[in-house]
Amino acid sequence: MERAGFWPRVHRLVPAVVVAVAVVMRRGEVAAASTDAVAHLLNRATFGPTAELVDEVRRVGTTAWVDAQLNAAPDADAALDQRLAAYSTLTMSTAELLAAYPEQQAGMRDPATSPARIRAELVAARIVRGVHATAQLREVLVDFWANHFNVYGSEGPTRWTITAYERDTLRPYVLGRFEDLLRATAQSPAMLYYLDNYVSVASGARGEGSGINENYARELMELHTLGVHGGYTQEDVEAVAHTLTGWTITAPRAGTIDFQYVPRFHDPSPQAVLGSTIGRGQMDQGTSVLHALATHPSTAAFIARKLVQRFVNDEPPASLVKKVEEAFLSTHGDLSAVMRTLLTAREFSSTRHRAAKLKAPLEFVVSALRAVGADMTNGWPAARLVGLLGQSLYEAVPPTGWSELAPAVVSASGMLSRVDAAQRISAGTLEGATVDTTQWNGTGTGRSGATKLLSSILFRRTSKATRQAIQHAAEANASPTLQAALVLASPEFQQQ
Amino acid sequence: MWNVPVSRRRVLRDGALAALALGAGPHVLLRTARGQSASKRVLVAIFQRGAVDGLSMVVPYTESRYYALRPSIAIPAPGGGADRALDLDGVFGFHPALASLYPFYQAGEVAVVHACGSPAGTRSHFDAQDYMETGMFSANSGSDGWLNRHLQSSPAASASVFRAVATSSQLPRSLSGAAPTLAVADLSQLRLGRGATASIVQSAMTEMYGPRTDLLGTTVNNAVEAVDLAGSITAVQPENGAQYPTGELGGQLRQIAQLIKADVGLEVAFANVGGWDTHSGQGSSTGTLATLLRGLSDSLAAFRTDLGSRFADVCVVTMSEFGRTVPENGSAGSDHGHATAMLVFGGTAAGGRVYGQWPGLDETALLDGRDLAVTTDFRTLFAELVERHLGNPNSGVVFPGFAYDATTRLGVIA
Repeated sequence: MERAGFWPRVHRLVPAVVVAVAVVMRRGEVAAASTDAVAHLLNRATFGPTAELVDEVRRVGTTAWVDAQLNAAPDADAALDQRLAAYSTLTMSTAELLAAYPEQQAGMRDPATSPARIRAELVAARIVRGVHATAQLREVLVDFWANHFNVYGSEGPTRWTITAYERDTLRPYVLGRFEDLLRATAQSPAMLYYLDNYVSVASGARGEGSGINENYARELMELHTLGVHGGYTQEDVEAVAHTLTGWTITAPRAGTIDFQYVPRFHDPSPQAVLGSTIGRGQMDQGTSVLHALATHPSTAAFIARKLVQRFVNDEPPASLVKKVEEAFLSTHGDLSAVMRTLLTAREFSSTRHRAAKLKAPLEFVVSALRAVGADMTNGWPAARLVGLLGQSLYEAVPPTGWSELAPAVVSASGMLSRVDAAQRISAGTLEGATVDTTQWNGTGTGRSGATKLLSSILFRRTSKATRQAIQHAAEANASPTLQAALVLASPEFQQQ
Repeated sequence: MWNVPVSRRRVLRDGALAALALGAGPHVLLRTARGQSASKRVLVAIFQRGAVDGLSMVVPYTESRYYALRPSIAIPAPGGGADRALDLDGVFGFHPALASLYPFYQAGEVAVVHACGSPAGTRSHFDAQDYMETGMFSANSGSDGWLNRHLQSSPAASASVFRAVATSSQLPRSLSGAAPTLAVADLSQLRLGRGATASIVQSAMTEMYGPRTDLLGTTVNNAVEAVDLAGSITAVQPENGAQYPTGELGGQLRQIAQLIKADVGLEVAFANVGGWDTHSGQGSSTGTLATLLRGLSDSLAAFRTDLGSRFADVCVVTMSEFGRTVPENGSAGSDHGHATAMLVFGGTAAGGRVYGQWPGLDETALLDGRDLAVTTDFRTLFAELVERHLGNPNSGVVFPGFAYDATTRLGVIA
């Protein structure tokens, strides 16, 4: 984009100078292009590039870096663990959470022991992990799968099970097998409650009028596996609901909220699902259905397309979707292999996908905190900010979760709020995010100062309009922190 | 299309500045911003996301099968008592939680269109919402929203940045498309920079985004333009003792009333209200659904009261992607069905009536033996609002392949 502004001026120079300048330009461009490629990878596979990460990827190469991310042990980040130690709920069992944060009576509410604190700590930790975790790809995938298997975390028993949902249901499997992830969600108290399967029982099993509830069975096929055009019918929805009857949760008054299978709530009769017969049975009926769905070709196609939309382009290139789909099928849903195929494919690094995606609010806030080198002493104010920008974590009501696509992440008020957020973040006035505001003091003014500031935050080329705007702001005596805020508010920083 | 508003914006801003220089008050400034809009008509669309149970909202209380199939969630027939339906026409009754809306029905300002819905058979929330919002019936069609096609095709096009506003942090599909629109969850968020930095921030944003004509650029450019007028809009107060309830819808309708009363050229407003997916524990005269319906009713009543005589030009329509199963399910709720009821509430509505053909609840009348059948295509109602309320004769452009004419006309707009 820089070239459009630069070349016309070059052409006006005498020929000898043109040659000399062109040589320099070409050399400069090779370096710039490779930095752009690194920045592209880091914009998609992490919560945003930092100077250290750019250096690291250039040193080890993109493929080796991707492999290291895929193989990173989940519990090998001592510095991160230390930061997370402040959030005591993260390691507590659901039973412990119920005991420590019981339901409160109206008029006797104490924020320190309110159940609302459980989700607050969880989402605060999501921010801290996003900013500081070395296993960045894992964090991005937790965000992807938490959206894919969305639950609403601020209602009913889910207020106590949401911690286990992220920790025990999602995190262990985001680079594991899809079928394991699917089964874990199907047996999670959070999902069983959110999509009503906990009350779905054989006809009459819980008294007159009781029976199946279709909600989970439908979304299981429509949103979690096959996709809405994946080839199922209303009869399949009802049959799947029958096979999953009796998959329920223990009542909170039992002292914990766990998955339980209750045989007397189950309808054992045979069911026809997707053209096959599920024989008479108990809990194995549901497990068979989950296996059939996890390994169905429509599921591979649906998950592949959604991953490519998230990591590459809202309009996913068909050839890459095909590759990812084939990797999903040939590895039986090995999500690590799937991600390796996606991130190392030729199509992934095509220049036409660079800056082609817009950041969702979580991505914007966390990448801004990383760009200014924030030291997160408390993630909650930043998590609240993400909510104010329209993406309150674990509070999406519809089972689609928060959309990642451009029309959903851009709005007039949302973009103006980002400008405000950018100012708070760069000035270090967002509580819990300490920023060294002197870091931009030596940047200088004029064209070179603006270019230097932009590349220290964006690590890739920017438009002439943005560079000039920063330059003009400096001329109008904007402080270095305000100039940095304007970079965070620039169109280039909204793109990833 | 996108190049035009930039220059138009300049003209508007210069015009506004000229008005200010001549000593004209802020009211004149706002009138200038209203642009060339010929019509003062405003359409307010409310989307009840999640599929509202039309049979509880507008109760077919003379149907014995309604009570037989819904042992725990049916609403008792009218006959006095706070838990009973409010009679509309001897056949249908409002849910008792719609009590605050009931006087406006009696005054002829509220019409009901029952058994209304989509000709498509899907029971997916997300496909059904897409169909209803685009007025088209192919998945992932990439089509513009029907309200945006109205904005594009209306002969009375205005240049106001507030011509089409969604009171949400995401632009709904209904409004998406080539014509400029604004998604703003909270009008007080329409500001840029703080204190001394405001002018630097505003200049930088204009400079950085000005040349851009993509989604990001146009969104920000519209937002920056809207900032100029936001203060005058948020200063508008509720009138006539209107009391908006707290909750998802009340705040949105309060802001839509502010936009109408500030005369900034609002023509189409869009509000979302969720929570209608009552698969379990739906409740009857009281309970989950009743609480949601009370929020809807009280918000609408406050909006009507607030607007006073301005309501003559305003029409509100409620919509939902589909209705719910006639039989209640095994957990005292209802699953995804087909037809539902839609409300039309406005100064231009021929209210006090229930419109549409009632298909009945006999087993053979139900779709797939479980759902209320659709007898009024939602496009009939929407096209009527476009043609008769908004005065846009091009409903064929708004709903391609759908003919709205004397034979399909409902008569719900006077």
